[in-house]
Amino acid sequence: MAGLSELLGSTDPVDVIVGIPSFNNGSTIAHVAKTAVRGLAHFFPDQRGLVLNSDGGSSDETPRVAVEAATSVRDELDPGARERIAVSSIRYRGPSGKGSAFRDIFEAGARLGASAVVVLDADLRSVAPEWIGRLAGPIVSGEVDFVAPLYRRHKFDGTITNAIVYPLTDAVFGGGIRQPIGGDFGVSGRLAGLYASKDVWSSDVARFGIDLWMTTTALAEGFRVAQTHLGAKIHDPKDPGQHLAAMLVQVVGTAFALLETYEEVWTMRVLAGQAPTFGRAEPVQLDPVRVDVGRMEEQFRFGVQSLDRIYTLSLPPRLWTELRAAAMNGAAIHDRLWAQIIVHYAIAFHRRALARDQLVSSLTPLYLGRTATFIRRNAGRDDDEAEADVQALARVFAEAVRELHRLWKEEP
Amino acid sequence: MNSTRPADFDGWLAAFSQRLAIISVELLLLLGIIVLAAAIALMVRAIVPRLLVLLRFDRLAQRIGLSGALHRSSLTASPSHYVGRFLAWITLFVVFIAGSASLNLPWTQRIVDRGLLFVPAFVSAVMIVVAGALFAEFVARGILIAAVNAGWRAASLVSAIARVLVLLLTSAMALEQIGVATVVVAATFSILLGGVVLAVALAFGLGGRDLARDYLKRKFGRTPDREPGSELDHV
Repeated sequence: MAGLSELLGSTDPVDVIVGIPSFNNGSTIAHVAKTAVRGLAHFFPDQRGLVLNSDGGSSDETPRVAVEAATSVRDELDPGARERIAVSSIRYRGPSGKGSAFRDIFEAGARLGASAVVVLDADLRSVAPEWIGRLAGPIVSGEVDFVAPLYRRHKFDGTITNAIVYPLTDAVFGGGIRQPIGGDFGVSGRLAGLYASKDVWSSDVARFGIDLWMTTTALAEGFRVAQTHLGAKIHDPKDPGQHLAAMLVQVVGTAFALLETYEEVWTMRVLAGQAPTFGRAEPVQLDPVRVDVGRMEEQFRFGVQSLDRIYTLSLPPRLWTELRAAAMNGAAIHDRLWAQIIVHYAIAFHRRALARDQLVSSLTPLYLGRTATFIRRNAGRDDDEAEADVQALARVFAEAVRELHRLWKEEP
Repeated sequence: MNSTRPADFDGWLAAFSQRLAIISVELLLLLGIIVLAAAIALMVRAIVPRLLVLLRFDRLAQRIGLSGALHRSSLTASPSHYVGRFLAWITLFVVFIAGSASLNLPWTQRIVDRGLLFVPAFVSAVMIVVAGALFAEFVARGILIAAVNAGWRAASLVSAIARVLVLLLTSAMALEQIGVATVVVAATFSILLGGVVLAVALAFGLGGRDLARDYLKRKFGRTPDREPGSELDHV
């Protein structure tokens, strides 16, 4: 299969690229590739488009499926569309991972002169042509450089986002990007060029954490950011073998590492302005979510009992006392306690109080306790009330981050 | 009455006096060397901890788990304090040996020969013990966190066993390094390790039947057990 250099040598300049990273997504990528072509043809009729699959060496012929599906739809369109929209697949460079796939897509965008680059997950089932218009439109029109997705989700889904990533990113960098790790984004050619030029592609960003890295980089480097409603996101079920602790290490570890990357920015206390939101939230039918809150609380108590040695190293004594009391008395992890726990974990991560993976992994029982608190509190509430609860937590984080500022450069 | 002393007695006395004078001088020199060694060692004990504090050694020690390992051994002072003590003793020993060597006496030469042979082995053994304690701490902590996250009720026990096994292994290596009854140490270690492995196997088989069943069910069963909260899409 061709690589990026062959693609660059054989492709004329384009205006909009829809990139689809993949690895063994042969059963789902056809729908995404077809939708990408339809979106380009419908929303950008005067622009030259490229649907670009960036594959990691699939064994199920994902690239062939993607190219054939996109080409078949394109060939059904008018002759003009056939002229304007190119379809290609490349084998990406670097370590296996979504980040490496994105890197080649961004570099293609920058080198081919694209004004907008959209990236879509290859396992999307709910993707529609409108997504291309909504993610690329504000960029092609020159309004913004970065568009994050805003999906309709069940009130109990996205708990790492709701409890940690959103409030922390918003409190530290501003912008109010509600789903910083959404997965599907639109970026300008200028921002794509900046991403590709960064010296991060042999780090963890290449393997995981690319979504949050993109959002944070756009916010911290002063690009104009926005978010857009996309409706529900339905995709393949997540890998049941991937454990919660591993997910936390990847996502929360990336969030904490980004605090170090951009400490020069956020310690100056300059926050990005509130990002505009495009489109409107349309009502969608969401599947119910079953949760065993009792088991989560039990795991929280067990963790607090068993990992006391870890928590006394990562949390200050008063916080540890409060946390232990909450666990033993069956009390909730209320907003202030939770925000302070995250702030002190970020500090412990920064000071390398423990091996970093072990530190973030030890957050798992506390996260389960906090999630149980959120679910119990919002069980009888509707989606808007649950969202108001998330926003209340974000305000508490904004207060707690003052302590992060104070402790960050202080000696332990 | 003429008191006569045998001529050989006078010779013996003269030789004895001369010998006594020489030995006294040697002992004084040796005492001086000991005092000098002690003074240098005291200086090392006073300066090294301060220097290590300036270099943030205690912070590093906390990060790599050395502080935790010391606390668990009821050594509650700071790691820089213990490093200062250790280096002071090594200094005392080395200065004493070096000073004794400068006297060039047969009996001090024997001390020098043995001491010089022992110091590198002793230092290596101490380093093995420290590295072993750190590694044991790292392994035990990793196992504890992973086991707690997996909901294993025996998490603390499994972690403690891992720590003991690593410490046993490194202690045996350290003893062998200083040449303490190497055959006995090797045999004792083998017996202990075998015993621990057997105990773990029995504990897992008898006490942990449920755990083993759960593990095998998760590993090979059709419907794997879910982590608490795994019904959620966390990200």
